[in-house]
Amino acid sequence: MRVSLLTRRLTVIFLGLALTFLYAPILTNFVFSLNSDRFPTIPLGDVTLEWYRLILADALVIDAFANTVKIALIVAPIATAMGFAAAYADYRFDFFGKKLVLVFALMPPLIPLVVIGLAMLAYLSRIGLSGTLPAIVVSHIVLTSPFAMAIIRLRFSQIDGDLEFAAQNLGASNWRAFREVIIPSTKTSILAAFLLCMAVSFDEYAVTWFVGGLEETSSVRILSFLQSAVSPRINAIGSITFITSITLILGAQFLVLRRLARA
Amino acid sequence: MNTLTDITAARPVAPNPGDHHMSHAHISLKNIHKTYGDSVAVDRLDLDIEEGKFIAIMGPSGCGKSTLLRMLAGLEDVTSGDILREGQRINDLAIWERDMPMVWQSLALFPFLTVRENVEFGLRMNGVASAERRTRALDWLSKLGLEGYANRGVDQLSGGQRQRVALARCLVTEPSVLLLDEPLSALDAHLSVQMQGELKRLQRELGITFVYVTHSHSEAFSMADTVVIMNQGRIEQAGSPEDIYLRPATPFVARFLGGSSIFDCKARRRKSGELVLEGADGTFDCAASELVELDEGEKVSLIVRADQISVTAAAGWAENEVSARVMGEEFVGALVNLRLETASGTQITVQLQQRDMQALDIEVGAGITASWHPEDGHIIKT
Repeated sequence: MRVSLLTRRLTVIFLGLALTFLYAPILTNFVFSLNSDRFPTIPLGDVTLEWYRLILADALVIDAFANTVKIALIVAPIATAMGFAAAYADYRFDFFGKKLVLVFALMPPLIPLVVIGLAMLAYLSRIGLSGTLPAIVVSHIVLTSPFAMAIIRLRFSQIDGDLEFAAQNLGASNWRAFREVIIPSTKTSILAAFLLCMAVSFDEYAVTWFVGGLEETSSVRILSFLQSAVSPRINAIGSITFITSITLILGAQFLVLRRLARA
Repeated sequence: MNTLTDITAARPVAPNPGDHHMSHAHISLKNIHKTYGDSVAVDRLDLDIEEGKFIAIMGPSGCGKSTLLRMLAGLEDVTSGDILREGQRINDLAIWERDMPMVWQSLALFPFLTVRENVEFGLRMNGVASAERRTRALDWLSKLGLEGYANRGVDQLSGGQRQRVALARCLVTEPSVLLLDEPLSALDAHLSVQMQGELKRLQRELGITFVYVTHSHSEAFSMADTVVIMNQGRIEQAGSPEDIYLRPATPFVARFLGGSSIFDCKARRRKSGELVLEGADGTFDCAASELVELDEGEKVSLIVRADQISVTAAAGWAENEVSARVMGEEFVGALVNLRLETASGTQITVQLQQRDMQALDIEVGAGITASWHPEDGHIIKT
């Protein structure tokens, strides 16, 4: 498309501004996490890893990180499996009420987190689970599986519906055809979904705070720090969390986009 | 209708004990019925498919031809009736137990496998050892002119090449039946004609049964030994291409094949005793052989092929004449298809040589007389 030079320059400036507003706070956060001064002021002090050393020595922070990783590693496979199952059912079968099932399956991310958090808390405390790691795991599965389903469904929508039957027609049993056709066709999107589920679980704060009780994940720990005192340690935790989740998300993005580009 | 539509109608019904090599029904459909909810897709259909024959099933979309093929492959359940293969009932066999490979309309090649891996797939599923798989796959690829493409991805091939890979993938397992679901519909006209020739040659050389579903007249009539014409889940007519072309059994077949004019008439006895056909467009004579089974007052369709009708500017020259108006003309190579309409609304198609057309000097909207010899009319009871 032909665009005048002026329009193009304006668009680039606009995009630059938007990205600056998005990423400047995160970058500042990163810069101050390496700054020796106690308060975020300019001019900057010396470069230091002091704050990282401090949080790595803090048992609460270490526990929170350990929880976060543990939860993400349990949540991601379960949520991915559930998302895959739902996406496959949508691809392969026609049944009564399919649209309704799909709507419900994709709904959780659209419900305000506070509402989900409250509902989860009410329900989980009734069955005696609130304030435990399993409670956080369950809530995270509810929150992340729709993302997994959405990503894997996107892939299924590009697969020729006859492929699986073609494999069966050539002598592959039901299960064999699934293994020979569906798994190879969807494996990158399954991996992408897995990474995205981990990222969402890593970042999720609101619902975790509701149902976690005394159990903390790193995002909840950051809030606790903020509530007690402003400390550059927050910058350090924030940077670590950000780098972890951005790595996961970029990984997922890469896998999905590579697929789309090839199709 | 429960009568067996026997494609081999010319044969005597009683088997001849001395003739072991006589072709026999390879696949038999017996009273096959298929419904989706309230709608009937295939309606109590009987069909015998002879071994080693090329059979084309054609009909308008929604006539049940694809459903029929999918039931053979096991992709659809049969509501009632039996599918027999060499006398064995195969209704309840799973898709993967049927050994009836299919060439799909979408081709359904596996995009994540190379050309050779695609061709090897069926062998691999049947537990053939890797070295033998490779030899047989490469052998078929070279038979179909695809040597050198074995390690390509299927998306790097042209339409015609992909078509051949789909064929090789089915034929490598040496099946006795090949199912083809409109396999040429994605190709351009030129390539399609070329593939028709190749398919026919392959079928003749391999001697296996081809069941070919299509909506294209040219594909069916150029390749098949037997053409089955379906409409609304039933078989309208089954027979050799020539038989169907010359003697359409129902008005539907005549209309579906096109190129014929259809006059709705009633049989009437003249004072002299002979039968004539009387309709809104006039009174027509017909060959005695066509009239034998008619009774007075019976309703019939009189079918006249486009190449058997001639047109003249003035009336009074022939026995069977209809006056009509010229509605339009289409040029098809050296031929012209002239479309006429009578006062009662009957559509008439006339095929003329280009030079005859010029000699007549016809204009759209002009009045004209169409005529044909009595022996060229074909009667169908309605």
